[in-house]
Amino acid sequence: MKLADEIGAKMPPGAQASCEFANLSSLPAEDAARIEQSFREALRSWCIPQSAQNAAGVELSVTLSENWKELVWTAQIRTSGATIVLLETSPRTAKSQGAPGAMPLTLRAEKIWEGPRRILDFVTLQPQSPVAPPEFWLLTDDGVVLRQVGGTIISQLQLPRSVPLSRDPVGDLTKDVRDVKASFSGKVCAISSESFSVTECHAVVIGSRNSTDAVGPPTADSIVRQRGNQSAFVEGACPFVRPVLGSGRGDYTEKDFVQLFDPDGFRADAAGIPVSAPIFFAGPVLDISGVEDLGIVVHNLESENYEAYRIFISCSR
Amino acid sequence: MRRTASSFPAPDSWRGRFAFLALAAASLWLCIRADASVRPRFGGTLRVQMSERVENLDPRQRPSAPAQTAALERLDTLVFDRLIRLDARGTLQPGLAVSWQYDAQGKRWLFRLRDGVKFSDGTPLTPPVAAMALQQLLGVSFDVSANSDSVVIGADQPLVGLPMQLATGRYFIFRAGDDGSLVGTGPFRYTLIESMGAATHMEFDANETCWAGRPYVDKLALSIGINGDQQADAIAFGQADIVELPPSQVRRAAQRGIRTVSSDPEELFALVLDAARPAVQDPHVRQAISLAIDRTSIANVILQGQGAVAVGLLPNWISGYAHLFPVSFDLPQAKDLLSASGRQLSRSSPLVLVYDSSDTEARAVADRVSVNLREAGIVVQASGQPVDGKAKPPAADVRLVRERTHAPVAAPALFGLLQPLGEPAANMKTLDDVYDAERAPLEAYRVIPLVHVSESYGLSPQVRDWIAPRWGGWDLADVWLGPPASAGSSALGSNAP
Repeated sequence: MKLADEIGAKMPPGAQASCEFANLSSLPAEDAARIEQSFREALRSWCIPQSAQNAAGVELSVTLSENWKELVWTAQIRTSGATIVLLETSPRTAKSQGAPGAMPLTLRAEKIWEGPRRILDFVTLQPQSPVAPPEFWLLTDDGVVLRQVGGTIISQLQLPRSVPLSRDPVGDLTKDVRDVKASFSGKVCAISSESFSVTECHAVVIGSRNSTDAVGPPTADSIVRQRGNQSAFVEGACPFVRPVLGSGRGDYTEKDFVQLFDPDGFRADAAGIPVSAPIFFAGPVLDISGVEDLGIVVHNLESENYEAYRIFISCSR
Repeated sequence: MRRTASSFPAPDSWRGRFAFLALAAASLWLCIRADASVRPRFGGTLRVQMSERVENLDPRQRPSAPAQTAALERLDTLVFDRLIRLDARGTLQPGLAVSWQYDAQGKRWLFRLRDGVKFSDGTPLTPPVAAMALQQLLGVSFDVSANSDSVVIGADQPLVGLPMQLATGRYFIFRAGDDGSLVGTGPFRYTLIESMGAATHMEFDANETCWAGRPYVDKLALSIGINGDQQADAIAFGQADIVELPPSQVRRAAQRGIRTVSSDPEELFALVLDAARPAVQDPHVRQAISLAIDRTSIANVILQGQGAVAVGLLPNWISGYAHLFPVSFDLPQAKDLLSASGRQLSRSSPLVLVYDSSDTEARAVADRVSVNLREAGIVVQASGQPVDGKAKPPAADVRLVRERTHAPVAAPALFGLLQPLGEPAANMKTLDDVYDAERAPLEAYRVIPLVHVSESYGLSPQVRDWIAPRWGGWDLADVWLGPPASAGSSALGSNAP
């Protein structure tokens, strides 16, 4: 620990201190206790045992605090003459997430992308070789298609734009037989999955103003897939149900979740039947895509990053 | 913005969302579209009220009253953009500049401008225009020039923290039109300014060609110079969509069913002591003043729970080390210190405390401070003085000041606080540097922090996507107007106490 080293460097030569630890952070008590234990280990040679006399009169107070971004460690070394203060910051640990539950279907989310660029959609391309990692294509809000393999962006492609940027852009990547079709900013472009180059682009009829981005005209495809409406039918997950994957109904300031529902359980006067436990996210679900290959895009309100998740469904009945 | 009430939609809320899904397939699309309440909608007029008077939007103005400065900057964000912006995490992000770099000494910075940006009058943003605007705002100690695609900023000294400086404050890019009016590249363009008695009415239209995307609302109608009581009434009676709520109004507004949102506590109320004046020359007297003040009562009673006791200049949610500045309310020790100092602050030579006479919260806090100090044996002459930036600040032993936090990051936030408090603001590269810079005026009791106060707004039920920075301010370009939220809806949270 760096702070422990700094404390050692600032201690009066040959002196030992009576040591106190305090946790003012929101870290759970058990985590704080574990950290304190490792800190005590690191400071073993500088702290006198609790039963011993503090002959040198040196006191050391180590406090774990936090600001809104990170954990803040402070150490105060008090001698008869002065107080020395040392500070150090460390990132918070990511919180784990899961969706246990006794529901017939189980949802699992696997994060494949996280970054400051807004992701509109992504597709997964399975490699020819079964041992090779899958390839992800991600469409960003500035019309760049990123090609990612094994967590690394290996190439990117700029799509032409025909309408101004929107504050709530939507885009779409769809796998075809040999190509990936990218719909973005009033154009549909075909991108070769072999050469990763645009093979053809054509304009599509759009509504006025930015309305295509905010409320797109319904298409035959969208009736099934419900893109941009934070819900999508799921095909082939289980033999006994054709569920809908849906998000919450808050606005973009809300934390959100996805959950599977049985559409056959919906009646005009009744609630739908949840068929999975929800998975909660640290921000709104901006997009749910796919029929067989499910994915969602989340805006993490804590990190401000955009996150792309693949969603997997297990059939447990 | 902080949300203390649970705004998380319970899974039960699916009841309404999917209630129609069993209808015929032909109507499936319409059913879900009608219930798709998440995606923003375009259109409508957003009606906003503010209390602070602002005569025009020229960022070259320098109002010295902090509240006026904050109001002007807030309005300027509607019309103008900065080279760099702060995201909600307080991280620097490209604005009109897409990238920036600096030389080895940090004395020369180059900001490459975004391609294709136009001012709202259709003229293109060019490096010379941007450089001219920044030169006027940064002043003669900076050398601002243009090259083919960039703005270059240089100075004799290393410009530590220049990007953060340009991302906050008044460093907006503007172009002066032929008639002298200023145009910007921001989400709105103003179309009307008219005085209506004590208030001023401004109208803004959506900038259809804004590089960052057209704002959701078509028009913004802004009334400024409206007092807090009137604003609370306006939101309650459906005459406004967004109003400012002073601390004393927040709880009452929530009780009236108004949706309220608040920033984290960010605005500092503090006493600034003039150590050159005989009354507070003795550090023991200054320490006694600090010990005599009951900050908890100020936060909970005077400011109706909208304030948090301040022990440092920075709120703990920014610094994380506020526990290193212990303060206590200890009247006996205050009396002992005064007795030991031998100072007599009596009726014949009272301690002169001044505050902004137009600020009702400041007057209430000053009155409470006076009562506390009197209990310690210090006679106080509290005096309200106009603080409008035009008159010279009056001579006083103690000034009650309000200073806003301009950034959520410790070094620039403290820099922005120390300067108006008259304290040196050295280069602060590490958190240790920030702590040392903050500790100096606190240990000498030249500045005595009292409370940090949240910035609060009342929102109409139609206002959606209110995503404001936790350190205050607004982002009206991303706000849209939806149908009124149903009672008890979890889609729109409130953090009203």
